[in-house]
Amino acid sequence: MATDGPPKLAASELNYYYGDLQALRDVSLEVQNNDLLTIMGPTGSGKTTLLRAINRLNDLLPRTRMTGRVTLDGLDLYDPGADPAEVRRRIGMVFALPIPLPMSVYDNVAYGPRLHGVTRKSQLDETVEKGLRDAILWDEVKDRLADSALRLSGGQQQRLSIARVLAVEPEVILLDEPTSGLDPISTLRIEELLKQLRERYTIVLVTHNPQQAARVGDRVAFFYLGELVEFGPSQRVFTRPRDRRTEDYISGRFG
Amino acid sequence: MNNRAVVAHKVAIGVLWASAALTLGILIFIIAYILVHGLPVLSWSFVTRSPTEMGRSGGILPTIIGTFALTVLALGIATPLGVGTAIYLTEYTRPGPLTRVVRFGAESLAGVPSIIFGLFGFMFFVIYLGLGWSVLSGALTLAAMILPTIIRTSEEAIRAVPDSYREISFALGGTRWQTVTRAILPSALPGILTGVMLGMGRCIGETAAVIFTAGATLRLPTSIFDPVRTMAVHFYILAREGISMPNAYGTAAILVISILAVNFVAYWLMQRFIARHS
Amino acid sequence: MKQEGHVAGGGRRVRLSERGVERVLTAVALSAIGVLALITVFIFIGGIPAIARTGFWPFVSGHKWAPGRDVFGIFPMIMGSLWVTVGALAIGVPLSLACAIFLSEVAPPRTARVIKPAIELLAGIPSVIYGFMGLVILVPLIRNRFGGPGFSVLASSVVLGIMILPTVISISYDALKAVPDAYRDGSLALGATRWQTISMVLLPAARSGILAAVILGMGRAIGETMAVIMVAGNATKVPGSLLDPVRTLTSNIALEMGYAAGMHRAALFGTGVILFVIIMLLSVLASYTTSARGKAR
Repeated sequence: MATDGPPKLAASELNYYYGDLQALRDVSLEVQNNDLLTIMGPTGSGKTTLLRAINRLNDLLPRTRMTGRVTLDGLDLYDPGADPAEVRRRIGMVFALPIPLPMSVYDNVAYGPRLHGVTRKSQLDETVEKGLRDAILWDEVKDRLADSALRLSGGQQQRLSIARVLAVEPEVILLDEPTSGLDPISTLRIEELLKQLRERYTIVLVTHNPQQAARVGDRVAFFYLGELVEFGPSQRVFTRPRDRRTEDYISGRFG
Repeated sequence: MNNRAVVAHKVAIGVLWASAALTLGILIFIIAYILVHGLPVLSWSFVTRSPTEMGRSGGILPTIIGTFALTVLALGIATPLGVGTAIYLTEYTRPGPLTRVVRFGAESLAGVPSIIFGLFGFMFFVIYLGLGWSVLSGALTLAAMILPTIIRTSEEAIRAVPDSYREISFALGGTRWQTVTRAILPSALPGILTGVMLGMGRCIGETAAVIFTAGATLRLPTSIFDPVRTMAVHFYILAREGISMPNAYGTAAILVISILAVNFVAYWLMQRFIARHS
Repeated sequence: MKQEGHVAGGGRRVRLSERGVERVLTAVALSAIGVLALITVFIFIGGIPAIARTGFWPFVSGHKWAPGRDVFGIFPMIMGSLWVTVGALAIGVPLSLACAIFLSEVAPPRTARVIKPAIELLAGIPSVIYGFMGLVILVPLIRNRFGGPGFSVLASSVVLGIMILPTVISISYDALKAVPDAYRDGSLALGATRWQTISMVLLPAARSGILAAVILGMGRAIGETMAVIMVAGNATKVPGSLLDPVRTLTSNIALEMGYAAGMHRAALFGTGVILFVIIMLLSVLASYTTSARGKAR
């Protein structure tokens, strides 16, 4: 966990608007390489908007406006020369609900690599196996790769979503409340998985659950009403919060 | 609440049931009538032989081939255009003047009577483009006629695909076109096929639009530039000119069976589509 | 970074082809309006010579149709279309409304699941089959029961009335389904019977949708050709009663296109022009009705 050097991912003075509604206010934030940052905050605090701005998924929505910069390895992601599709490949995203595409387990994981031109069967097989192994799902599904992914359990489906992202070899993985629809045991498995993935990837995890933030994050950011209220090493934020609102939040007084 | 209101209610509900029963009865009567009179006429030679004496005797093979060729070609032309339009409306644009123009075109076209398509096809494809009475002229005319149906059903099918599929595909670095072809269309396929089947049904049964564009010859076509007579046209000529009632019934039976089959497939696909998206 | 150059290159290529796809799709999307424009142009090109030579007013108000002597008056056909359309609506609309109300408000779900596809199937039956059924069942029935030739306004109206059922039913059904459940609950809670709720609350609430359904059904009835030809008798005279034979605009075209040439053919296209204009007006009216409803909500 390097604190110095150039950040892997950075947002500076980010403002985001849906029509007249401002969802992010002057947010500046840096994530170091191989860091695991958790972003916590109550509903409507702008967490999800930040993730969707980082991998340019909000480009697809009408009537939105952004000011400020988002950079990956110092390169502006919103530069006119940047390709949104390539930005999204390098910055993977796992959504709140585990949603498999309506196809087989194999095809779900192979979906991304195929988008990027991988057609050789042996190479696809290898990528799919690696993705599933990295998502700790391989042993459970290796005999039913051709089955519809819709038949997996909720927890398995969410790990499949992670495998699907890992298969395109991103540099950063964004997860938007990935355990919100899961039972406690599945949740723990996902958290274990995140701790392993941290070794190789830069991860940003959004959660509405401060306990989860305390359990898995190296650093933690607290958002409230579109504002970055507090940002620092988890240890420090959870033991000695500097802001009153952070303290209220982590002690469960709202949210 | 008074008694009169209760009586009125009972009478009204009775009338509603009777109306639905009447409508269903009409459908069953038509199908049964045609099949009862037509099925006894059907035989292997009826569907594998060419007509003789203008259709008074012999089979109806050329009209089966003609109907098939026209329908397949018309669908081949209209499906890409219709699905493409639906993709454009749902995935590539936001509501604005251009989409209003596109929609106006599709909706107005849907209301145009088939005889007008026939006149247009005759003037434009047969005469102006010099295609003559031919499979191609007929198919192009039919394609224009079924285009609105395919646009509308495809658009509905594509809109029913959950947004999450789009997001997943985009988030993995897919371009818009990749997302359309790999995530959206496979999921919308049964719905789209329902529209294609409905279009197919209209092509098989159509008379006014093809009689002036594809011709009415009883010869077997050898290319798409040859004229043909469809089953519906053949049936019309046999029945109206009183050439042969038995053969008219036989042709009608095949026509009705094809329409039933097409509609059942369409219905089945629709059920599958609904099951998948709810 | 080494990867970076590769990335940007690939990106540019992808974006170029994406733009190509978008252009192709835009062109494709214009196909429907393009076809509509072509139809308009070619029907008018075909029909204007005859209308111009006869004069617009004499063409639409002339009682005499004598192609052999180049006399083209389509007033009887306009009246014929009007008669059979009104007849078709008189028969088809009440029955359609009853079916739509039945399906949306009264039918047990299982019954509705049988009736709905049956009505869709009714839409799939070819018009020549309807015409044929009219020819072998209705025409003799009318001849024996009421006299006259049997080929008549009445026979055409019944056949067309049945043919417009699917259109009118499905659109009025949608209009009724779109009425919020709160209206139903509110009325029933006040002690109204189900029928009072239907007649006093739901039908008024759905009226613009039902009106659109009737207009579209009207368009179908005016535009129908082959079924009418087989049962109408096709005399070029304004009908004096329901039992008189009648010729519509559509059948005028279909009956004579097979052998018409020169000015005669142009006069048939001229008939098409009048028909096309009527249909387009109805289509605009229907979309106006539905969009007015959209704004009212």
